[in-house]
Amino acid sequence: MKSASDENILLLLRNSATFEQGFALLMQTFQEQLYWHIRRMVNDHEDANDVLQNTFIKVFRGYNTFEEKSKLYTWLYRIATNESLTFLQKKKTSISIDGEISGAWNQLQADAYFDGDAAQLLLQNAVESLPEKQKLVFNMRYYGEMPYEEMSTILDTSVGALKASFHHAVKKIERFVQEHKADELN
Amino acid sequence: MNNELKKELEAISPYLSRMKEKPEHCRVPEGFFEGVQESVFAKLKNDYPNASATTEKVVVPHGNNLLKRLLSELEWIFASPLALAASSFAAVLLMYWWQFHTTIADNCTQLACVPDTEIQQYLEQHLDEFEIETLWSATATENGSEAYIQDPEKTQDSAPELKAAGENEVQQLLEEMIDKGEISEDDLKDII
Repeated sequence: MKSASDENILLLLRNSATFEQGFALLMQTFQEQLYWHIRRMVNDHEDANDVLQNTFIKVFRGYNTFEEKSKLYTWLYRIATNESLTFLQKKKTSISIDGEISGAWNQLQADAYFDGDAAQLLLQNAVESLPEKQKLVFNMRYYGEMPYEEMSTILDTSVGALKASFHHAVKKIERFVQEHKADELN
Repeated sequence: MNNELKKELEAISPYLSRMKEKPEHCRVPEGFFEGVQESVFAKLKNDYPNASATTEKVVVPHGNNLLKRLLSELEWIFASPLALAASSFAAVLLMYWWQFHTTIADNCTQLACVPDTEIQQYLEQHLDEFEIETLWSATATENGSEAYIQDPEKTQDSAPELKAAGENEVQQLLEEMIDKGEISEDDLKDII
């Protein structure tokens, strides 16, 4: 079984006798979505794996705080997002907002699980140059193809603000790519 | 790529729209997702040996509505047909037990359940603790218990030993008691 509905999972999670079974079903259902969400934030597979595991541990230990007012998926995304941001803050990568390619470029080139061509590597570095919150919005919309309404619930931000943030991110990325393409040609 | 995003990207950045058509450039090790659960459970056991204890909780769905809380607590019953059947049977048994005991309780209030002989015995032993007037008025409302504490006239009628005793003998007995000082003439008048 690849996925299960919130209702099936919650039914198992509510009973302490079936809690672990429910938790296993929760992981099975959401692990891929959450992994890719985290991976786009932290880039590296090993880091993404660590953050994903920490996310699930937080979910396991903090399930009693989930009041079932929102979708399970929304709650999990929030935890994964917070874990990713905390991880990035701790790691303090050497990427600067002004577009200087340093740590991210090296990190992606060294990542054995990155198969992109030069254009994709450049795009990835352009995304890395964004401020963290803007990067989060860009990733969720561009790679995750998430509707603005859903993003609004997860990030607790208005749809209008998210649209504006995405638009700014796109423009910054275009500028970054044009500048660095020119650098490469020179 | 979904149509909504495609239109949005084409409008603001044809470059990103083209890039989106390229295949996914990140991958994961083979079988990675099959091992995630195992790794998480192993980490939980190592780092938090008592983790399962912290997860026992009462979920309060949609506010503090008591009915919803109760239904939420009982939802596991509906999860399996066996649990549903067992709980239905238990509910029927409970209702039967409750009805049985309620019927007995209704029919068996206070002295009505105590055997007559027991009441008689108790009253004989504790007669001094009651005022005779109270007992008479109480027994007047109890049809079945009238035989034991009755109006003196009724008692006279129904007590064979007193009926058998001759008036002369009674008079003689009273005179002897007055002579011995066991009873005064005033007391005797009051009794009569």
